[in-house]
Amino acid sequence: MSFSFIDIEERKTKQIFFLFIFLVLFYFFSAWILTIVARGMVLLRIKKAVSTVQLFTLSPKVLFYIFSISLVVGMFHWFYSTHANLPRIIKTLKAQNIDKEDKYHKILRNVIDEVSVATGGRQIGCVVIPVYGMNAFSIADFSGNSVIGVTEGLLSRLTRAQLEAVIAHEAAHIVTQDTLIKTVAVSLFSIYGSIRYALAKGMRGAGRGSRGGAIIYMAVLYGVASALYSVSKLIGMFISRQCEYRADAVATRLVRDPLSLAQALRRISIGWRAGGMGYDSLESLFIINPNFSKLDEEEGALSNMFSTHPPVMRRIGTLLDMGHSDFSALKKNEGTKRKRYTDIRVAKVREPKWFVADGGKWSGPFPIHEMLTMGTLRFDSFIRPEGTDKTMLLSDDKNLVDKLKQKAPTGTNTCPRCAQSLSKVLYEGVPTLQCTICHGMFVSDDKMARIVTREEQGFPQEVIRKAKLIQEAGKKLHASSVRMKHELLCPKCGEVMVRHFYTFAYHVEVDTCSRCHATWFDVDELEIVQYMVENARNSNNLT
Amino acid sequence: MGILFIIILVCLLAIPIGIYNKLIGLRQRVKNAWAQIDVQLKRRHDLIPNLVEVAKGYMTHERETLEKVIQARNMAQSAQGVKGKGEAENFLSGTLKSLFAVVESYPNLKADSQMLSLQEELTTTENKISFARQHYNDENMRFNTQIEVFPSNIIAGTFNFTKGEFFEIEDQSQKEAPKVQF
Repeated sequence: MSFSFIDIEERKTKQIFFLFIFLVLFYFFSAWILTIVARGMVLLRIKKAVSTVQLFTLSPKVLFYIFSISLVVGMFHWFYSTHANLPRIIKTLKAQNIDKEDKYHKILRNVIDEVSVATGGRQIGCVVIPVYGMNAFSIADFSGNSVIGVTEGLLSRLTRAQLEAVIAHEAAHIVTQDTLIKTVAVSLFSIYGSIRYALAKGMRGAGRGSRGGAIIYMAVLYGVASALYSVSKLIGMFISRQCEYRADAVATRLVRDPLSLAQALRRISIGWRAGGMGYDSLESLFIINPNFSKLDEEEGALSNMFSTHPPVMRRIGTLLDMGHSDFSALKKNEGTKRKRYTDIRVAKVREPKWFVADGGKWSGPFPIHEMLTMGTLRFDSFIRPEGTDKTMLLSDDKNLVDKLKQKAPTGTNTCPRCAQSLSKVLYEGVPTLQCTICHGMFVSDDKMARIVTREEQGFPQEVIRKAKLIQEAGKKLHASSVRMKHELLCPKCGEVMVRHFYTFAYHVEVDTCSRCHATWFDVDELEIVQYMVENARNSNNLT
Repeated sequence: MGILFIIILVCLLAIPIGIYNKLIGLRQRVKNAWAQIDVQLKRRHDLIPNLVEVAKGYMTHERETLEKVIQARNMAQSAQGVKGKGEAENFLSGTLKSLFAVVESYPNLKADSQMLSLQEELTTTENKISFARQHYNDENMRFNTQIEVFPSNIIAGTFNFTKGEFFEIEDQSQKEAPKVQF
C-alpha cells in the first residue's frame, strides 16, 4: 500500500491515460462495427453473392479514417465531459451549498476544516444533498478543486466522531487522487446514463399525451442509450475496489478512529442510502453504493473486476481489526440521538395596543389585528396609545396607519397576521423566522427538507394531541371538499399566499407563497407537520 | 582520461548536494507544520476570553475557576519553544476541563446559544490542534530519521542540522475533549 506522493502521481497519470485510450478504442470499435453493417447492407443489395471474408474486412485506408474520426470524437467527448464537470455533477446530485447560519452545516464545515488540517492543509469545499437517506461522496477536477458532499440525513444522525471518520474517508480519496480518477471516469460515462434517464422521463410524459409517433422514436433512442448505458457499467473496470479499503486505512491514519468509521459504515449500509434519485451512474463516487447491489457483497474475479465497492462486512471487519475491537463494540455507544424538547419560542414582545374613542367612550385597549376587524374605526377616530395620555387622530399616527393598511414594504419580514416584525430563531438548527406575538413560523422553501430530516427537537403533549386529532379528521376528508383560499400576504415578497394542506398525507393547513414558495405555519403547525412525518417514518421503519 | 575524472568528480559532488537539498526541504516542511499549529493555538487563545465573558454572566460563585482559566491562557500565550508551549497548553486544557465540569451545574448557561456556539468553536479548534500536532510530529519524525540514517547523517553533522522536538500534549483524544452533544 503505497502512500508516497510520487507513486500516487505516477499511478494517476497512467490510469487517466488508460481511460482516454479506452474511450478512443470504444469509439473506434463502435464505428468499425457500424461501418461493416452499413457496407454489408449496401453490398448485399447490389451484388447477389458476396463472400463472408469480403463482408468483414475493411481496407487499411478506411480503418485509418475510422480511427481518425474516433480520435477526434473521443477528444471532443473527453474535453466536453471534463470541463467544468464539478458544477454539473453537483447539479445532477441536487446538492446545495451550505447555509452559513445553519447549526449542522456549521459543524460540517468545521469537521471538514479539521480533517483538512490533518491532511496537511488541503482546501476542500463542501455541499449537502437535502435528502433523508445517508451517504457521502467526493469529487475533484484537474485544477485541484475538490468537494466533499454529504446528505442531510447523514449530517443529522451520525455523531460528531462518526461524521469526522466519514469525512476523513472522503478526504483520503481526495489526497490519494482516487477521487480525481473516479470523477473523470464518471463524467465520461455518465452522459449515457443521464440521456437514458431523460428519455425514460420523456417517454412517460409522451405516454400520457396522445403523441404516439414520438414514443416509437423515443423507444428506439432509449434502446440505443440503454446499450451505451451498459457500457458505462464498465466504469467499474477502472475503479478498483481496493481504493475503498485503502481510503478506510488512510482515514484511520488521519483521524485515528477506526471504530467510529466502522459504526458509520454499518449505520449507512442498513438504511436508505439515498439511492434511486436519478444519479445511478454516479454511484461509484459514494462511500457506500447508494443502490444495493449483490455484486458488491460478493468476492471473486468477476465482482473484483466490475464492482465498485467492496463488501461492507469485510470493510467493517478490517476496521474493527485496526481498532482492536470486535462486533460487540460496534453497537455500543453508537449514538442514538436523545430527543429533547427545547422551547424555541422567542420572548413575547409586549404588543402595542390602543384605546379607541367609540361613541364618546374610551374602549380597549386593542391590538392591531383586533382594530382591523372593527367596523367603526375611521381616520378621524380619536385614539390613545396604551400607557400614555396623548390623545390624537388616527390619521396622525403614521405608523399605525401603515400597519392597519398592511402596507409593510415587501422584504421587511413582517408577520402576515400581526403585522409585527419577525425575529430569527434556530429551529432544528435551521435559521427560520418567528413572529414575536403569535409565534407563527415562516420557512423558506429550501429549508423545509432540512427541518423534516432532523430529529433533535422533541414534541410537547399539546402538539402530539393536535397531530392525532388532525390525523383522525383527515381520514374522513375527500380531495373534492378542499377549496382554495387566499388570505395572507407573503412576508418576503408581498405576493398572495395559497392555503392548502401540507400534503394530502398530512392534513395540516398551511399558507404557501405563490411566488417564492415559502410557507407560513401558524403556531404549533410546523411542529405538528414534523411530528406527523417522523411518526410515519418510524412506523414504516425507514431508519 | 581527464574527462572521466571530471565526470566522477561531478557525480561525487552531486550526491551530497542532493542530500543537503532534501534535508532543507524536509526542514521547511517541519517549519510549515509548526506554523499551522501556531495558527490554531492563537485561535484557541482568542476564544477563551469570550468563553469566560459568557460564563461570567451566569456564574456567581466560581470566580476562582474563571480566573485560573484566564491565567493559564495568558501563560500559554507567552510560552516559548516547542516544549514550553506543550506544557502550557496542557495546563490550559486542565483548567478548561474543570471549567466545563462547573458549567454542567448551570443548566441555563449550558443552553445559552452563545455558549453553545463558543463550545463548538472550541471543540473544532482543539481537534484542529490535535490534527496539526499529528501532522507536525509526522513531518518531524521524517526529518529526524533523515538526519540519523547513513549517509545523510554525515551531511547533517557537517552543516549542523539538529533534530526537531516533538510537540507533546497529554494524550487526550477528541473523545475526551469538551464536546458538544449534537
